[in-house]
Amino acid sequence: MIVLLLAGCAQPALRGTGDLGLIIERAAGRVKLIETTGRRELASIEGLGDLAHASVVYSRDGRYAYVFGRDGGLTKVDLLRASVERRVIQAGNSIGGAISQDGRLIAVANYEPGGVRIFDAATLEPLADIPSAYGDGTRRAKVVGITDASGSRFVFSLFEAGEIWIVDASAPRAPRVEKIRNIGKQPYDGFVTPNGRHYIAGLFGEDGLVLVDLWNPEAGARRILEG
Amino acid sequence: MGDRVVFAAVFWVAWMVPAGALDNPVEPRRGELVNMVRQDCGSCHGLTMKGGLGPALLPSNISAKDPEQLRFVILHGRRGTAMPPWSRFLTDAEAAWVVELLRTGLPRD
Repeated sequence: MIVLLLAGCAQPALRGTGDLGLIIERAAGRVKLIETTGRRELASIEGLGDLAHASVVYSRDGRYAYVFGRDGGLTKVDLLRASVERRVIQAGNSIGGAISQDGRLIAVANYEPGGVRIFDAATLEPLADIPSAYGDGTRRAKVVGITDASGSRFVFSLFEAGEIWIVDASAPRAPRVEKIRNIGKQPYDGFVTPNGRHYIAGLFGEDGLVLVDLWNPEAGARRILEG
Repeated sequence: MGDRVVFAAVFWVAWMVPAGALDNPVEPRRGELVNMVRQDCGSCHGLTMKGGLGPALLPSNISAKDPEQLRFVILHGRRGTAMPPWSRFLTDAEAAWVVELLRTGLPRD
Protein backbone atom coordinates (compact mmCIF):
# COMPACT_ATOMS: atom_id res chain seq x y z
CA MET A 1 0.00 0.00 0.00
CA ILE A 2 2.80 2.45 0.95
CA VAL A 3 4.78 1.46 -2.13
CA LEU A 4 1.75 2.13 -4.29
CA LEU A 5 1.27 5.58 -2.74
CA LEU A 6 4.92 6.51 -3.29
CA ALA A 7 4.74 5.36 -6.88
CA GLY A 8 1.67 7.49 -7.25
CA CYS A 9 3.53 10.53 -5.93
CA ALA A 10 6.50 10.08 -8.24
CA GLN A 11 4.22 10.13 -11.26
CA PRO A 12 3.56 13.67 -12.52
CA ALA A 13 -0.13 14.43 -12.97
CA LEU A 14 -1.38 13.62 -16.44
CA ARG A 15 -2.47 16.59 -18.51
CA GLY A 16 -3.36 17.53 -22.04
CA THR A 17 -1.19 19.85 -24.08
CA GLY A 18 -3.98 21.82 -25.74
CA ASP A 19 -3.92 24.70 -23.28
CA LEU A 20 -0.17 24.88 -22.73
CA GLY A 21 1.78 27.79 -24.16
CA LEU A 22 4.90 29.88 -23.82
CA ILE A 23 5.25 33.56 -23.02
CA ILE A 24 8.50 35.09 -24.21
CA GLU A 25 10.13 37.43 -21.69
CA ARG A 26 12.04 39.43 -24.27
CA ALA A 27 14.33 41.51 -22.09
CA ALA A 28 15.01 38.77 -19.54
CA GLY A 29 15.75 36.11 -22.18
CA ARG A 30 13.44 33.57 -20.53
CA VAL A 31 10.22 31.81 -21.44
CA LYS A 32 7.31 31.13 -19.11
CA LEU A 33 5.32 27.94 -19.48
CA ILE A 34 1.64 28.62 -18.87
CA GLU A 35 -1.63 26.75 -18.96
CA THR A 36 -4.59 28.75 -20.12
CA THR A 37 -7.50 26.82 -18.56
CA GLY A 38 -6.43 27.61 -14.99
CA ARG A 39 -4.52 30.67 -16.19
CA ARG A 40 -1.45 29.62 -14.24
CA GLU A 41 2.26 29.84 -14.69
CA LEU A 42 3.79 26.36 -14.53
CA ALA A 43 7.51 26.96 -15.00
CA SER A 44 10.19 29.38 -16.08
CA ILE A 45 12.69 28.08 -18.64
CA GLU A 46 16.11 29.64 -19.24
CA GLY A 47 19.04 29.03 -21.56
CA LEU A 48 17.40 30.08 -24.82
CA GLY A 49 19.85 32.88 -25.66
CA ASP A 50 18.88 36.37 -26.86
CA LEU A 51 15.08 36.49 -27.03
CA ALA A 52 14.82 40.24 -27.69
CA HIS A 53 12.78 39.59 -30.85
CA ALA A 54 11.90 35.95 -30.43
CA SER A 55 8.82 34.22 -31.75
CA VAL A 56 7.40 30.74 -31.28
CA VAL A 57 5.51 28.04 -33.19
CA TYR A 58 4.02 24.82 -31.80
CA SER A 59 4.14 21.24 -32.98
CA ARG A 60 0.92 19.75 -34.36
CA ASP A 61 0.36 17.65 -31.23
CA GLY A 62 1.04 20.56 -28.90
CA ARG A 63 3.88 18.75 -27.15
CA TYR A 64 6.71 20.96 -28.34
CA ALA A 65 7.39 24.64 -28.92
CA TYR A 66 10.06 25.94 -31.27
CA VAL A 67 11.52 29.29 -30.24
CA PHE A 68 13.35 31.44 -32.76
CA GLY A 69 15.82 33.77 -31.00
CA ARG A 70 17.37 36.98 -32.26
CA ASP A 71 20.87 35.46 -31.97
CA GLY A 72 20.05 32.76 -34.53
CA GLY A 73 19.21 30.19 -31.87
CA LEU A 74 16.51 27.62 -32.62
CA THR A 75 15.31 25.90 -29.45
CA LYS A 76 12.93 22.99 -29.14
CA VAL A 77 11.10 23.12 -25.81
CA ASP A 78 9.27 20.11 -24.37
CA LEU A 79 6.12 21.61 -22.85
CA LEU A 80 5.25 18.55 -20.77
CA ARG A 81 8.69 18.37 -19.18
CA ALA A 82 9.17 22.17 -19.12
CA SER A 83 12.69 21.78 -20.46
CA VAL A 84 14.88 22.48 -23.46
CA GLU A 85 15.04 19.31 -25.52
CA ARG A 86 17.31 20.47 -28.33
CA ARG A 87 18.98 23.68 -29.37
CA VAL A 88 21.06 24.79 -32.35
CA ILE A 89 22.61 28.12 -33.32
CA GLN A 90 21.78 28.26 -37.00
CA ALA A 91 22.56 31.88 -38.01
CA GLY A 92 23.87 35.18 -36.65
CA ASN A 93 20.65 37.20 -36.56
CA SER A 94 17.20 35.80 -37.20
CA ILE A 95 13.63 37.05 -37.12
CA GLY A 96 11.26 34.11 -36.93
CA GLY A 97 10.16 30.83 -38.37
CA ALA A 98 7.37 28.49 -39.35
CA ILE A 99 6.46 24.81 -39.04
CA SER A 100 5.24 22.82 -42.01
CA GLN A 101 1.62 21.71 -41.93
CA ASP A 102 2.59 18.04 -41.54
CA GLY A 103 4.71 19.09 -38.54
CA ARG A 104 7.92 17.58 -39.91
CA LEU A 105 9.87 20.66 -40.96
CA ILE A 106 10.96 23.88 -39.29
CA ALA A 107 11.94 26.81 -41.52
CA VAL A 108 13.84 29.76 -40.03
CA ALA A 109 14.01 33.23 -41.61
CA ASN A 110 17.38 34.91 -41.16
CA TYR A 111 18.68 38.46 -41.44
CA GLU A 112 22.35 37.48 -41.16
CA PRO A 113 23.35 35.61 -43.22
CA GLY A 114 20.20 36.39 -45.23
CA GLY A 115 18.15 33.37 -46.18
CA VAL A 116 16.00 30.50 -44.95
CA ARG A 117 17.21 27.31 -43.35
CA ILE A 118 15.10 24.19 -43.06
CA PHE A 119 15.41 21.68 -40.22
CA ASP A 120 13.99 18.32 -39.23
CA ALA A 121 11.41 19.15 -36.54
CA ALA A 122 12.20 15.98 -34.57
CA THR A 123 15.99 16.24 -34.44
CA LEU A 124 16.74 19.83 -35.58
CA GLU A 125 19.09 18.30 -38.14
CA PRO A 126 19.76 20.85 -40.93
CA LEU A 127 18.16 19.77 -44.21
CA ALA A 128 18.42 22.74 -46.58
CA ASP A 129 19.96 26.22 -46.81
CA ILE A 130 18.31 28.73 -49.13
CA PRO A 131 20.39 31.95 -49.42
CA SER A 132 18.26 35.01 -50.22
CA ALA A 133 20.57 36.15 -53.04
CA TYR A 134 19.13 38.77 -55.36
CA GLY A 135 20.16 41.21 -58.09
CA ASP A 136 23.53 40.10 -59.47
CA GLY A 137 23.54 37.36 -56.83
CA THR A 138 26.29 38.82 -54.64
CA ARG A 139 23.99 40.42 -52.07
CA ARG A 140 21.63 38.65 -49.69
CA ALA A 141 18.38 40.20 -48.51
CA LYS A 142 16.98 40.06 -44.99
CA VAL A 143 14.12 37.57 -44.93
CA VAL A 144 10.82 38.64 -43.37
CA GLY A 145 7.22 37.43 -43.10
CA ILE A 146 7.84 33.69 -43.24
CA THR A 147 4.79 31.48 -42.98
CA ASP A 148 3.67 27.94 -43.77
CA ALA A 149 1.39 27.14 -46.68
CA SER A 150 -0.36 23.93 -47.77
CA GLY A 151 1.69 20.94 -48.91
CA SER A 152 5.07 21.43 -47.17
CA ARG A 153 5.44 24.91 -48.59
CA PHE A 154 6.86 28.04 -46.96
CA VAL A 155 6.32 31.58 -48.20
CA PHE A 156 8.44 34.59 -47.26
CA SER A 157 9.55 38.03 -48.47
CA LEU A 158 12.96 39.55 -49.19
CA PHE A 159 13.21 43.02 -47.64
CA GLU A 160 15.91 44.67 -49.80
CA ALA A 161 15.05 42.71 -52.94
CA GLY A 162 11.31 43.34 -53.08
CA GLU A 163 10.60 39.68 -53.85
CA ILE A 164 8.29 36.97 -52.51
CA TRP A 165 9.55 33.40 -52.64
CA ILE A 166 7.50 30.22 -52.39
CA VAL A 167 9.52 27.19 -51.33
CA ASP A 168 8.18 23.70 -51.88
CA ALA A 169 9.97 21.49 -49.36
CA SER A 170 8.18 18.21 -50.08
CA ALA A 171 11.69 16.93 -50.85
CA PRO A 172 13.28 18.84 -47.93
CA ARG A 173 16.91 18.28 -48.93
CA ALA A 174 16.20 19.60 -52.43
CA PRO A 175 13.57 22.32 -52.03
CA ARG A 176 12.13 23.99 -55.13
CA VAL A 177 12.04 27.79 -55.06
CA GLU A 178 9.58 29.88 -57.02
CA LYS A 179 10.48 33.59 -57.08
CA ILE A 180 8.03 36.43 -57.62
CA ARG A 181 9.99 39.59 -58.44
CA ASN A 182 9.19 43.31 -58.41
CA ILE A 183 6.44 42.95 -55.83
CA GLY A 184 7.05 46.45 -54.38
CA LYS A 185 9.54 48.27 -52.19
CA GLN A 186 10.77 46.79 -48.91
CA PRO A 187 8.26 44.17 -47.80
CA TYR A 188 8.62 43.99 -44.01
CA ASP A 189 6.15 41.33 -42.88
CA GLY A 190 3.63 38.88 -44.32
CA PHE A 191 0.97 36.31 -43.48
CA VAL A 192 -1.38 33.78 -45.06
CA THR A 193 -5.11 34.46 -44.90
CA PRO A 194 -7.12 32.10 -42.64
CA ASN A 195 -8.48 30.21 -45.65
CA GLY A 196 -4.90 29.36 -46.61
CA ARG A 197 -5.15 30.77 -50.11
CA HIS A 198 -3.54 34.21 -50.14
CA TYR A 199 -0.15 35.46 -48.94
CA ILE A 200 -0.19 39.16 -48.09
CA ALA A 201 2.92 41.25 -47.47
CA GLY A 202 3.09 44.78 -46.08
CA LEU A 203 5.38 47.26 -47.81
CA PHE A 204 7.60 49.63 -45.89
CA GLY A 205 8.94 51.53 -48.88
CA GLU A 206 5.48 52.21 -50.36
CA ASP A 207 2.00 52.82 -49.06
CA GLY A 208 0.17 49.56 -49.66
CA LEU A 209 0.05 45.77 -49.44
CA VAL A 210 0.72 43.07 -52.03
CA LEU A 211 -1.17 39.82 -52.44
CA VAL A 212 -0.11 36.52 -53.98
CA ASP A 213 -2.74 33.90 -54.82
CA LEU A 214 -1.10 30.65 -53.72
CA TRP A 215 -3.52 28.71 -55.95
CA ASN A 216 -2.17 30.65 -58.91
CA PRO A 217 1.30 32.00 -58.09
CA GLU A 218 2.11 32.33 -61.80
CA ALA A 219 -0.17 35.36 -61.85
CA GLY A 220 2.41 37.16 -59.66
CA ALA A 221 1.77 39.71 -56.95
CA ARG A 222 -0.90 42.37 -57.14
CA ARG A 223 -1.34 45.53 -55.14
CA ILE A 224 -4.22 45.80 -52.67
CA LEU A 225 -5.34 48.45 -50.19
CA GLU A 226 -3.51 51.29 -51.89
CA GLY A 227 -2.73 53.99 -49.31
CA MET B 1 20.57 67.11 -57.92
CA GLY B 2 17.00 67.49 -56.64
CA ASP B 3 17.88 65.36 -53.64
CA ARG B 4 20.82 67.56 -52.84
CA VAL B 5 18.68 70.67 -52.87
CA VAL B 6 16.19 69.05 -50.51
CA PHE B 7 19.01 67.79 -48.32
CA ALA B 8 20.53 71.27 -48.15
CA ALA B 9 17.17 72.84 -47.43
CA VAL B 10 16.34 70.35 -44.67
CA PHE B 11 19.81 70.80 -43.22
CA TRP B 12 19.34 74.54 -43.16
CA VAL B 13 15.93 74.25 -41.51
CA ALA B 14 17.44 71.94 -38.90
CA TRP B 15 19.69 74.79 -37.82
CA MET B 16 16.73 77.10 -37.25
CA VAL B 17 16.19 75.82 -33.74
CA PRO B 18 13.32 77.33 -31.74
CA ALA B 19 14.33 78.91 -28.44
CA GLY B 20 14.36 76.37 -25.63
CA ALA B 21 14.89 73.42 -27.97
CA LEU B 22 18.59 73.39 -27.12
CA ASP B 23 17.97 72.63 -23.44
CA ASN B 24 19.16 69.22 -22.35
CA PRO B 25 16.24 66.93 -21.44
CA VAL B 26 15.65 66.39 -17.72
CA GLU B 27 13.68 63.74 -15.82
CA PRO B 28 11.09 62.38 -16.38
CA ARG B 29 11.77 63.08 -20.06
CA ARG B 30 15.11 61.23 -19.95
CA GLY B 31 13.38 58.06 -18.83
CA GLU B 32 10.83 58.45 -21.62
CA LEU B 33 13.63 58.85 -24.17
CA VAL B 34 15.46 55.74 -22.93
CA ASN B 35 12.21 53.80 -23.21
CA MET B 36 11.59 55.19 -26.70
CA VAL B 37 15.08 54.23 -27.86
CA ARG B 38 14.71 50.73 -26.47
CA GLN B 39 11.16 50.03 -27.67
CA ASP B 40 10.69 52.16 -30.80
CA CYS B 41 14.20 52.42 -32.22
CA GLY B 42 14.66 48.87 -30.93
CA SER B 43 11.85 47.50 -33.10
CA CYS B 44 14.26 47.79 -36.06
CA HIS B 45 17.70 48.18 -34.46
CA GLY B 46 17.06 45.49 -31.84
CA LEU B 47 15.86 45.76 -28.24
CA THR B 48 19.52 45.46 -27.22
CA MET B 49 20.75 47.62 -30.16
CA LYS B 50 22.48 44.63 -31.73
CA GLY B 51 20.80 45.27 -35.06
CA GLY B 52 17.88 43.77 -36.96
CA LEU B 53 16.12 45.27 -39.94
CA GLY B 54 18.24 48.36 -39.18
CA PRO B 55 21.98 48.36 -38.38
CA ALA B 56 23.43 47.72 -34.91
CA LEU B 57 23.73 50.85 -32.75
CA LEU B 58 26.07 49.67 -30.01
CA PRO B 59 28.82 52.12 -28.92
CA SER B 60 31.37 50.09 -30.91
CA ASN B 61 29.25 50.44 -34.06
CA ILE B 62 28.82 54.21 -33.91
CA SER B 63 31.79 55.60 -31.98
CA ALA B 64 33.62 56.45 -35.22
CA LYS B 65 30.62 58.26 -36.72
CA ASP B 66 30.11 62.01 -36.57
CA PRO B 67 27.59 62.74 -33.73
CA GLU B 68 26.21 65.68 -35.66
CA GLN B 69 25.42 63.44 -38.63
CA LEU B 70 23.80 60.86 -36.34
CA ARG B 71 21.60 63.58 -34.84
CA PHE B 72 20.61 64.68 -38.32
CA VAL B 73 19.66 61.13 -39.37
CA ILE B 74 17.56 60.68 -36.21
CA LEU B 75 15.66 63.89 -36.87
CA HIS B 76 15.23 63.57 -40.63
CA GLY B 77 15.58 59.88 -41.50
CA ARG B 78 17.46 58.44 -44.46
CA ARG B 79 15.99 58.55 -47.92
CA GLY B 80 15.66 55.22 -49.68
CA THR B 81 15.93 53.29 -46.44
CA ALA B 82 13.44 52.26 -43.75
CA MET B 83 14.80 54.94 -41.36
CA PRO B 84 11.96 57.41 -40.74
CA PRO B 85 12.29 61.02 -39.48
CA TRP B 86 11.75 61.50 -35.73
CA SER B 87 11.58 65.28 -35.68
CA ARG B 88 7.86 65.11 -34.84
CA PHE B 89 8.73 63.38 -31.58
CA LEU B 90 12.12 64.82 -30.61
CA THR B 91 13.58 68.28 -30.27
CA ASP B 92 17.07 68.99 -31.55
CA ALA B 93 18.53 68.80 -28.07
CA GLU B 94 16.73 65.52 -27.35
CA ALA B 95 18.11 63.99 -30.56
CA ALA B 96 21.61 65.11 -29.53
CA TRP B 97 21.03 63.57 -26.09
CA VAL B 98 19.91 60.29 -27.72
CA VAL B 99 23.13 60.27 -29.78
CA GLU B 100 25.16 60.61 -26.56
CA LEU B 101 23.04 57.89 -24.95
CA LEU B 102 23.84 55.52 -27.83
CA ARG B 103 27.52 56.47 -27.83
CA THR B 104 27.85 55.60 -24.15
CA GLY B 105 25.45 52.65 -24.24
CA LEU B 106 21.91 52.25 -22.90
CA PRO B 107 21.58 51.86 -19.12
CA ARG B 108 20.51 48.46 -17.82
CA ASP B 109 16.84 48.12 -16.90
